[in-house]
Amino acid sequence: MKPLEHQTDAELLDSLRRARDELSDAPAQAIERAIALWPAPVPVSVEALADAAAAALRLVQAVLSFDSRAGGPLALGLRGAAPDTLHQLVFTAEGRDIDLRIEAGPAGYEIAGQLLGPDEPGNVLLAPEAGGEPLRVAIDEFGEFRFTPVDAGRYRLTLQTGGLAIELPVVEAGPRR
Amino acid sequence: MMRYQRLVHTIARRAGLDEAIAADVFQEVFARLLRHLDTLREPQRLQAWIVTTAKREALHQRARARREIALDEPPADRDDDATLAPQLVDPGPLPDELLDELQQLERLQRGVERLDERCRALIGALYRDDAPPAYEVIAVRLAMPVGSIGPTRARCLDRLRRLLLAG
Repeated sequence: MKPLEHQTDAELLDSLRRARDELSDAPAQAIERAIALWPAPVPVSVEALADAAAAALRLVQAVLSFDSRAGGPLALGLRGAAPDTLHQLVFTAEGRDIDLRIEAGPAGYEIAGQLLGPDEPGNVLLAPEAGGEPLRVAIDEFGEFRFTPVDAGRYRLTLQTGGLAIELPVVEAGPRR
Repeated sequence: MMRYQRLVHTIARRAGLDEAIAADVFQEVFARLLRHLDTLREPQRLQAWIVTTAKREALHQRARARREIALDEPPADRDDDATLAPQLVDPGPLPDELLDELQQLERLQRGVERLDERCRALIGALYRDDAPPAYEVIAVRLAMPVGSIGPTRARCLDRLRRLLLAG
C-alpha cells in the first residue's frame, strides 16, 4: 500500500472505503469491561489536577504521536530533516492534536505550538517539571500559542480548552542528546 | 484505550475469531498492557507493543480453538499425532504486511476524525458509498454550492494529508 501521505485524492478516498470495510470498532461492552480493569486514574501532576479542579475541567493525558528526534516509526522517516536547534513534537488527546515546536534562540528557548481540532478558545500553562508558578498564555484565533524566552529545562504543558485540561508528557527545552 | 480499540478488535476478528473470543482477546491485551505499563518506557513503541500482543493472543486463541475442534472430531477422523503434538502458531491470517496495512488504514480513519466538521462531512459523503453520489446530490445534502465541492474536496484531502504527515 502506497504511503498515505503520497496518495492522490482518489487513492485516499479508495483507502477510506477499504478502511470502512476492513476496520471494526469493539463492542461497547468489551470497551467498558476493559476500562473497568484499570484501578486508578493515570498519574497526573498535582499542579494540573489542582488547576483542573479549580476550573472544573476534565483532565486528560495527551499521548506523543510524532517526535522529530526519535528513531523508527515515530519520526516517519523525517529525522534529520529539521535543524538541530528545532525539536518538533505532536501529541494527541480527545480528538485534538497539539503541534509543538521547541527551538533554541539567542535569548533562550521558544516553546510554541498550535492546537489542531475544534475551534475553541483557551489557555496554555507552562510549568517547570520540578514545580513552581506556571506561565500562562492565551490560545489565539489560529489555535496558536507561544512561550518565549524559556530557560533550558524540563516542563509540563497543560492546555485548557473545550472543557478539558490536556496535560502533555514532560518535554525538554534543550540540545539534542 | 479508545485510540487502540479499533485496531485490537480488527486484528482479533481478522484472525477468524468469533465475537466472543475476540472480546476475550481484547480484554487480555489491555489487561496485559496494564500489567506491563511500567516497563514500557518509550511511548512511541506503545502501538507496536499493542499490535504485536493482539496478534500473538489472537493466534494463540485461534490455535486453541482448532485444537478443541480437532479433539471434538470422532476418533476415526482424528490424526492423534496432529492434535497431541504442539501446534506451531501459523501467522497465516495475520502476516506483517496485513498488520502494517491495517495500521495505516486505522491511522487514515483517525485522521478524518480529527478534521473539522465541514471536511469530515464532505469526505464522509464522498467515500461512504462505493459509488459516490453526484456533486449535485452532495451539494443539497450538505447545503453547499455545487461549484465549491471540488475545491473543498481538494482542500480537505490536502488537510488530511498534512495531519497524517504530522502524525
